Amino acid sequence: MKHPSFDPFLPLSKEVQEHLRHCSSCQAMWQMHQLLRAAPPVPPPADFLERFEKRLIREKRAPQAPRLWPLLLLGLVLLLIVAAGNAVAPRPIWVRVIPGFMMLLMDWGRYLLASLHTAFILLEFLARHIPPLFGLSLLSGGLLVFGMWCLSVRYAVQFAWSHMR
Amino acid sequence: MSMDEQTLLACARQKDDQAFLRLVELYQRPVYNLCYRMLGDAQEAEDAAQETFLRAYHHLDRYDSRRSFASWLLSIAAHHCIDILRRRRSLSFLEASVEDDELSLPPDPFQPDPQLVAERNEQHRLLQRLLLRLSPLDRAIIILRYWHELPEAEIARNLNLTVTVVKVRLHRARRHLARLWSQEYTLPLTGNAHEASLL
Repeated sequence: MKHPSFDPFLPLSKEVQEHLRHCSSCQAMWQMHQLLRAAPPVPPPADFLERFEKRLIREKRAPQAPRLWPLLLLGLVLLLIVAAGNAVAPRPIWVRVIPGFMMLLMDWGRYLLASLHTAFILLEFLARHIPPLFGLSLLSGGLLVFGMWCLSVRYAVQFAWSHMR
Repeated sequence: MSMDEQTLLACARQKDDQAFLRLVELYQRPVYNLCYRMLGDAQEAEDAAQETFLRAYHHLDRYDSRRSFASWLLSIAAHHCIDILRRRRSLSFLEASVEDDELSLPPDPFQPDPQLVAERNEQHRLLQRLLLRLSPLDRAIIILRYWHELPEAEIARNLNLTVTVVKVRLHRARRHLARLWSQEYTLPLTGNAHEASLL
């Protein structure tokens, strides 16, 4: 049977009305349209406004969520510097902290240079022993894992933050 | 939009909380209804409706006053509910799915026959259950078209779709609902008296 197309929100033509009398599937659809039109809206709870007002006040008082990305990146960079410095330097970093803050800063500078030096040696080693394509896939794999780790930390903190409020 | 609402909006934009609360009072019903019809759970619907108003509060400066305020709010609510449903679907392997709770409809003052009232409530409860089986986007389209009477062009704009897609999805969703009803329920599908007489 050929079903005429019709918009149920517009007045039905004689042809469509005639079709609806004989076609059970179009009739069911038409009746579903009527049922949907007759369904009343569900009212909100009586204290909705009151509760929203409280939430708005709470929201305005609560401190803003900290920006995670800069902190995360800074922490990671520091961690890398310390780890690389400790690996390269003859003594662990905490032994060098004692002489004073200035010495510490100088040491950190040296560690940074040492870390860069280590990174260059490592890159040179990789360039010699690992084929470029494999190296690239290793690098992109590492970046992907790092990105996923960052995302998981971000969502975990967001989740914890939303449940703390 | 009435002058009163325009004044309220202007005040709310100046961070007048009382004006914004008055707007919440005016629009709580449509926003809550959309959230309830989308999510099928009273508690979740209340949270989603409150979140909708909070987002509107924070982004009131982005509201384009040439648009209807109600439509803008409904658009925020629909997107938020679609996000919740997608997250719920992606987490469904972790937790049990949320069942629709009992639908409590307001009493109909024009319907004195308790049996007819009970039958009507049962029909609407079953309808709500079927609605939850549509995809989030189809559900949003059906709700915006039927309960909020938005024209198809407005729905398309709110949900970032084309008018043709809205029309096709609306037709398909209606047909799907009718088919599910006939497969699963013995309760007849009846319209109002005028439409029943038409058939």
